[in-house]
Amino acid sequence: MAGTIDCSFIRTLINRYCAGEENWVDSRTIYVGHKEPPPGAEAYIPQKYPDNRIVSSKYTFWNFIPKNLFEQFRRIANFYFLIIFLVQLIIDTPTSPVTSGLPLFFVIAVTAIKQGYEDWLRHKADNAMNQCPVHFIQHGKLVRKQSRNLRVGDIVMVNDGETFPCDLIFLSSSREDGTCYVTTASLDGESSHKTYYAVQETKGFQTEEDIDSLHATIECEQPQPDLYKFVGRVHVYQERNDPIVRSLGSENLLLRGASLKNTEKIFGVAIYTGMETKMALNYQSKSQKRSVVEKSMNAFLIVYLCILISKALINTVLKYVWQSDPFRDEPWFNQKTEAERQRNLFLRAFTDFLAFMVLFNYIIPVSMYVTVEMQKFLGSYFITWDEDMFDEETGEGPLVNTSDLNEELGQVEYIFTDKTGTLTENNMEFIECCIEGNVYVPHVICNGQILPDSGGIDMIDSSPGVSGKEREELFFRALCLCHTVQVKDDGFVDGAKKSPDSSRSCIYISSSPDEVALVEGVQRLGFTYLRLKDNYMELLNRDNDIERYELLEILTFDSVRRRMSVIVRSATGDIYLFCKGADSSIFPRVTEGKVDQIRSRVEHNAVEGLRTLCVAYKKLSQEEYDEVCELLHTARVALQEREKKLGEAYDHIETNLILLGATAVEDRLQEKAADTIEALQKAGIKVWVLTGDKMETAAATCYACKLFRRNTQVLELTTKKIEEQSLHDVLFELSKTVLRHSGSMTRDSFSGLSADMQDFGLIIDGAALSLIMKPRQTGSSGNYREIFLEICRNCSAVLCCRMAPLQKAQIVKLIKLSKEHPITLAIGDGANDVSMILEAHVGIGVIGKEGRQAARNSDYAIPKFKHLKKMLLVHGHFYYIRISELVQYFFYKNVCFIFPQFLYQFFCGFSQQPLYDTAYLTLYNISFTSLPILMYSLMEQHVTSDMLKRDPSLYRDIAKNALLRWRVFIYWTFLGVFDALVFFFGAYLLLENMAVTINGQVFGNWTFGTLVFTVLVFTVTLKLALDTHYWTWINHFVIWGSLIFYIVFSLLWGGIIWPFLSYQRMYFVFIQMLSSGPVWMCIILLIIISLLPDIIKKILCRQLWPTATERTQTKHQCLSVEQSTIFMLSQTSSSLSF
Amino acid sequence: MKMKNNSQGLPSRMPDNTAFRQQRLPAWSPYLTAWAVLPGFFTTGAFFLSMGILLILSAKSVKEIEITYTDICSDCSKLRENASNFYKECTCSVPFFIPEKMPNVENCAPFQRASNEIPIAPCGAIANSMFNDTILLSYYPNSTTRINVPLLSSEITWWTDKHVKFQNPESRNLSSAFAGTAKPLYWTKPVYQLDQENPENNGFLNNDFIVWMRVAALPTFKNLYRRIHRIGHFADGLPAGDYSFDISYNFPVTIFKGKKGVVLSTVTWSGGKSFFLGGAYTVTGAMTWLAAFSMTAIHLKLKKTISFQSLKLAKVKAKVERDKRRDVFRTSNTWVRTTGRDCRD
Repeated sequence: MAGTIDCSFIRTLINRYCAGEENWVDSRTIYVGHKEPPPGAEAYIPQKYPDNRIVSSKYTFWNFIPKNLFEQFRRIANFYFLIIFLVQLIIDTPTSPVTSGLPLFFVIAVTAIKQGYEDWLRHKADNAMNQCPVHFIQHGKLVRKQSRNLRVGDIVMVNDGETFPCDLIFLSSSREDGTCYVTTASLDGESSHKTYYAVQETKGFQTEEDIDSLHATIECEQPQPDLYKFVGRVHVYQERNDPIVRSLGSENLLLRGASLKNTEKIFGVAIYTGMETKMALNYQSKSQKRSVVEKSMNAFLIVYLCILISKALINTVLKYVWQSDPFRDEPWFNQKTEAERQRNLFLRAFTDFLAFMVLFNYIIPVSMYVTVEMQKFLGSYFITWDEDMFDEETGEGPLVNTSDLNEELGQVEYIFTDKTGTLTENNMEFIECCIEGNVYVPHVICNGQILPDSGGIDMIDSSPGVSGKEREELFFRALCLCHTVQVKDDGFVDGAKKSPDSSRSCIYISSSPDEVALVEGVQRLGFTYLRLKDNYMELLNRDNDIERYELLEILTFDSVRRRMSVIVRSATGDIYLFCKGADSSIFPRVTEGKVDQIRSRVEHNAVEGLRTLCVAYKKLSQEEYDEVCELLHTARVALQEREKKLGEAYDHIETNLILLGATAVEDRLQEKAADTIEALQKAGIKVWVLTGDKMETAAATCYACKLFRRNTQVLELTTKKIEEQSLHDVLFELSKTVLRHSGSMTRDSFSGLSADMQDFGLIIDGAALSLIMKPRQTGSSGNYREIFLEICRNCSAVLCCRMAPLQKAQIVKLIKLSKEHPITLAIGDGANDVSMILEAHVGIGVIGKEGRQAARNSDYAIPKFKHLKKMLLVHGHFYYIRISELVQYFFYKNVCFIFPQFLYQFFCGFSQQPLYDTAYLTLYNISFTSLPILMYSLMEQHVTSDMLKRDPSLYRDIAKNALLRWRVFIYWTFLGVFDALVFFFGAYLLLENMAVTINGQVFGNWTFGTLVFTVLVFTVTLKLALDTHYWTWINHFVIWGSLIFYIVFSLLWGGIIWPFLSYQRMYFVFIQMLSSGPVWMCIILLIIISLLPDIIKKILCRQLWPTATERTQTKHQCLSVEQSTIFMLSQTSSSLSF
Repeated sequence: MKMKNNSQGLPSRMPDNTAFRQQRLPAWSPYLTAWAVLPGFFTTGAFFLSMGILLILSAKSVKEIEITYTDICSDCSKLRENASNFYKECTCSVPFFIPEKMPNVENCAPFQRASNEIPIAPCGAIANSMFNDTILLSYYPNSTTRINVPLLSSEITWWTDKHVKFQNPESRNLSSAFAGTAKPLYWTKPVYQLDQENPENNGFLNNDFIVWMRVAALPTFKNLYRRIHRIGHFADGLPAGDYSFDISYNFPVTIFKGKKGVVLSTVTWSGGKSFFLGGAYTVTGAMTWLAAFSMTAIHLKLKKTISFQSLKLAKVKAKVERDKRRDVFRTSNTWVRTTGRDCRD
């Protein structure tokens, strides 16, 4: 992740600085309609642009096989198996190349077929897209062409409902105001209609002929993937006059993939085509996250690789030690040829080493990767299928974007959650407003009564004077005008909110729910915003008169400024600037107004958990307005650093305001948010709330959702506090408080009386955080981070308010890289959470109202915050249990498999004689022992999901990768070695000393191998059966089924002389073996001996040191037995009491 | 309810509600608790102990005599150490005594310590090293009489090996079938002359050859050599008395420090004389019982402490409850009083 960010960052840097003066690397010039600009225009270096072909497929027919093979063998495991296979082909090895070639071929083939099929689908989709017809304007006529033939500079016509074939600059539309409506549902999932604006100078060109006469060039930046950023400039040449220059922004850019709505047709000029469109640039997949389990798996693999190499080395060395006696090297019945004697000793030894490697290579099974992958892929379906995580209200279910992290959900230690839209509904309701200290409440409910006030206002304080009345109306008008809300007259828009006032039913749509709530609130207070028409905003005042204001400028909202403004001209010709924003960004800019009263009210509301906004205004004279226009225009036309320049201009304009009042909007908590947070905290997860909201509001929400409880001692690390003392002192003081306490607590923490435990909550704001994060020159204070982390570690809950999006990611990174390397999860719903979602180990998007950006960038998406509980406590827990058993079991069963082979070398003179037959070697991992563990890893539920939900503390049992620690791994490995010893020496002792059949006939080496193998298959399968706690019919079927399959296969394999095989060594071996009584006795004995230690260990551990999970299991069992009795008893007692 | 929603055709991504998809398949959940497992442990232990004793008894009933003749025939061994002497014959006689009657004697197998049989080319090396000593067993009912014990070479191989797996090339007579082939390097006779007495027992179908071709798994091994033909004196097995082996010593073993010998043994349902199975069964049975007893002990002890603890916990809980109730009572009192005052006001 970090790597890619760095790379792109460096790339932009290089682009920025190396390009220097020459703009052509940074920007492109497009001749609209391929018309050369009049001579004397800027010099221009022609560039080559790609055609409009979209290529999402990876392969072509010709390069599929080499490219796919190359990609597959880039995986280290596949490469390893390929090497083994090649070694087997080249040198004379004990096992046939088929044994490793067949599984490898199988894996490679299945993967190739899957990828090939997917690519074929992509090809089909690409072709459909590339061949769909597009309307061009050519010499004033409409021409239909295939989409792929579109070139940069072509003028395109798009009809209603069609999708845009490439990224277009919006030239004109059939609507006279030069706007069009667009839905970007397929790009970012936001289904609301967005308004785009045609270039002012070209919006008059409405017919084919007109548009063909347009003479213009467009300069714009080179394509970049950010969907919401675009900077460009258009020059429109007119006869005689100087060209008109007009700035272009993202509101002029129609993106490929979006579709036109409610507009008959539009004309646009293609600027980015094919793979350079923003949609195509966004195809690039995210960097992969790896789970802890995968990391431990790789560590185990390395251990096994070492074991493998050392086994091969030991055997090679011993072989030559053993052969140092000449009679052993060359027995009389097997003398070497002259050529063999002449061979170089080292070459021989190396060949032997390789042969031993091949013989033992099964210890790292190719099938493990396949099984793990299948488990993850199939297992993730259980998340999408989960009914409990389906939200009927929105019709959304959970989404799984990566299945690689399923088990990571069971390992989460820190949750970073956004507040708005995640913890809260993001369903805003206007609660009150405060105008100059007087509080107004819309006429819904007040003191439990509905007030039948005609004006719909309840004045809580004394009625205002005449000037107050004016201010009041100004305030309402300000709320009516200062927003970017759109009005929809047609009712079929998704996600819209119907106004409660049925008489004037209009639907307000906005990207920010706050604005909708405010406009609706004002409607209830008597002022209704009607529409924006021809740049005039119309509103209905209390006397049902329509007032029209000319909209002059919008100073748009952004999360840095945290405010927005509009400049309007009223019917009387006065020019007003209305500004609304967060209190912290308004108050410093205010010079007049009842600041103190309003501030106190704002703070009061914030403590109640309401979202507050302040409204201010100023009147502009015409000269001032002209100045403002000039300022804005220069900033908007700037090609470079336009954002920054605009911000500066806005800052300059929004000064000397007069404070009008404040509003309070309630954002209700999501249902069960408190319950979820409580459960997560009980599960030992630390929950941090990261929000852009202000401290008081956020703190109130935190109390409401039980993040802070009444006995939580809240520590503050805020700007206010740092202003009083130095950061250094504050930090040290806090850490002292926390540490003193935790020192005294450690003794009691195990006593189980956690109710009294004092826990700490920390509140920190963005400014303080950036102070802490700032690298310092002086060495002494360089470890503020450490102190801060130390404090955080001892706090059960942390609230970070006033955070910028990037700071959210920063804090996630800080925790992620702290010395315990905890697993972090970030959850959020808005675009501002994307950075932290990408940064955290697991990113979860809430499919919310602020669009789907978060959901798109997340690893998992859920409809509601409450679903996180089931996601982590149930699914995460299950997946972790399942995959850890899968990994450990796979290594175990292959130790059992290969260790006897190793032991056998000591009894066959290190001659690389395989113990098992080729068929057994090949099929062991593929078919005899594969399905039970796969099914286990899909179905296992060691505790019921209800139990897991009811008792979140069970989550602690698997924290910190508990089931894949080295101790556990060593236990499994030793169990494997023990079992292998039992198999081998059991069979050895049985067959060494006696004839085992009733007629005295003897068994050969293949019978010996088959005996070991039979015991092996049974033991390994029964071991899994012992570990299975959830026996559905599927488990029964696969476990008993694979044992039966083994027997049937062996009977068949030995029962026939196979015509195509060069050897018949297994002929009747299995059947002869089973005809012997002692062999049966031996099989039973060895299976029991191998399983006994594990059973005893399990029972003793359960008795002496039971984990919480095991206690629950036992309790649950008892409960289900005793429930009926208890019920009976209570019935008796109740009947007695009556 | 949900069904209804779906049938109304709402645009819903509602997943199907099957037990499998919701991970709610009916299932049996066993847990390895002491109580659940202990009966199993006791029965397994009992079964193993009884099986063990049975196996030991049956192994004990097997009569077995083992004679290693490498050292006894040391002259021959020396002769064979030199490869140039392969074609010289050497026989030696090994007398021995069977103290009690061996009923139902099956047969004796040569006993040897071969070491390297590396199957680089399976048919080559294994066949090449085929065991070619011949052993004759003689019985001396008294010091002067000598009766050759009739030995059978039939049925010493797996039936399937003899009748299906191994087949001679089809031809009128064997020598012509094998014409153009050379005998293995260390063989004294070609493959079609392995048994001069029985022409059916030649070529690839030679019983000794088939037995040898079933390669032993371990360096120390026994192969079946002959069965006693139970006729005449030997109708009930070998009677007690003096015997001797007459061995034509061909197979060299001292070169690789090996040993070879003959075993006379009876066979029961549990095979030959070995206490491994019986011993292992007995030990495992005993261990299982030991484990079961200790687990019972731990379980009982823990149960006592747990019940004690839970009693204590219950007491604490009761106290807390009582306190709480008192608190509630107190608050309600206050509440009554205040309301009272309100009323008066």
